[in-house]
Amino acid sequence: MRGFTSRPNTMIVLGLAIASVALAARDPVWTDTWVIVGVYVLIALSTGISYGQAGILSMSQGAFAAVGGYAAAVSTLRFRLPPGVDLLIAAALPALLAYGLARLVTRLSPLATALATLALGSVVEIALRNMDSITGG
Amino acid sequence: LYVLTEYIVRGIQAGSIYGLLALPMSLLFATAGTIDFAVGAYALLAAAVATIVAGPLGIAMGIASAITAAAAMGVIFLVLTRTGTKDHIVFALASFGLAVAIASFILWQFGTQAFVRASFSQFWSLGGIRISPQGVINLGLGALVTLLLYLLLYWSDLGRMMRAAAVNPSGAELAGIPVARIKFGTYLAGGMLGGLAGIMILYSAGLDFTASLSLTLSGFGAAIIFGIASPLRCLLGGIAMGVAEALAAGYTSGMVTAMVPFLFVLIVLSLSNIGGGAMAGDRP
Repeated sequence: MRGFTSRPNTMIVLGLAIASVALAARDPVWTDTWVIVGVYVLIALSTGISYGQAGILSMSQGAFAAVGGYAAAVSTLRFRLPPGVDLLIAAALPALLAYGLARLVTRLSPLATALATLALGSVVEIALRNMDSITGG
Repeated sequence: LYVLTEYIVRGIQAGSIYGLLALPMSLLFATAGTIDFAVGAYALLAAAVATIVAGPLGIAMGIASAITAAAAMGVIFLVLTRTGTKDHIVFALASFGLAVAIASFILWQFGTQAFVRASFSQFWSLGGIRISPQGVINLGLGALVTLLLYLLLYWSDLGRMMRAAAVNPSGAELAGIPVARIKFGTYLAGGMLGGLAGIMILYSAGLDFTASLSLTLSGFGAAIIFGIASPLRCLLGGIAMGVAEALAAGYTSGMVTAMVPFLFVLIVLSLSNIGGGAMAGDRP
């Protein structure tokens, strides 16, 4: 119970969040807002792990998120895979991409890492926008 | 081969713009050890302002607005330095934020229109190869600015102070060189060069509000390919990137062309030993 007293702000935010989740189920606008909150939380978490814990500033988290999103959408819509399977693909594909990137950038200086990941993120974005036959543009 | 020559000539003409964008990267990296991600945004701002104001006044106002934006970045740099920021990535991230803000401002005020202005309707022909007069002006301006910068760095007192501030900041500070002011001035110079590049793009290929990041990375790629140390190498790097882009445009799809600057940066960063001295800001 020490957490309640030592982290009052966290507890206030958590309390408000739990209270608003109850509202979220009734109102579509709230549901939508909470979906976006969840997405941002996940992306922030991924940046938090790489920059906050490991000190590697990766500017391509958005690109990984995009690859996962497209992977899920394409595997559901085109290949008619069940939702559980496309979730696995959506996590595995960006992880594979991130593995290749990690092999490349971990030996670079911090600034060079940021630039290389930014460049890769832009390459991914351009590729997704241009592969009309797969991603729909 | 004939077509190849035409692509290469076109690339050289376009490449001088990248060389111009590479100069502030090189300068700022040497003096402050960081990257100004907003250089492309300064170019965008200058082009946008020069679009709404006609004639030479527009060009002047465009470059002035780019310098003003760069001054804002310089102030951010000074404030961060005063509050004890040491990590160079923080300055780079701050400039990234400024770049996004400028691009959003352009989108808000000007919409998604492309900024482009045709300066010459006639093309010169040299042995059957089309040469755009604006391209020649760009190349000449790029070479002139590079030469001036080279002279400034290696033949003037200010240049010697800048190099001293780069090599040994605390030693330079002790010798009475205003290191913080020199870094601020380098940001301003970045705004001026970025603005000039923006005007040149406005009169050649044109650009829109999405261009800022790709311009920044083009400049950075041009700066690192032959080593970030000297202005002359920046111009050559810019020309190399322009040629690569023109060849990609000629022989492959638009997708590959759009990727060229980013792939350039990725390949150069992965091949060179930039974690070592190459990117540590050593300038002899």
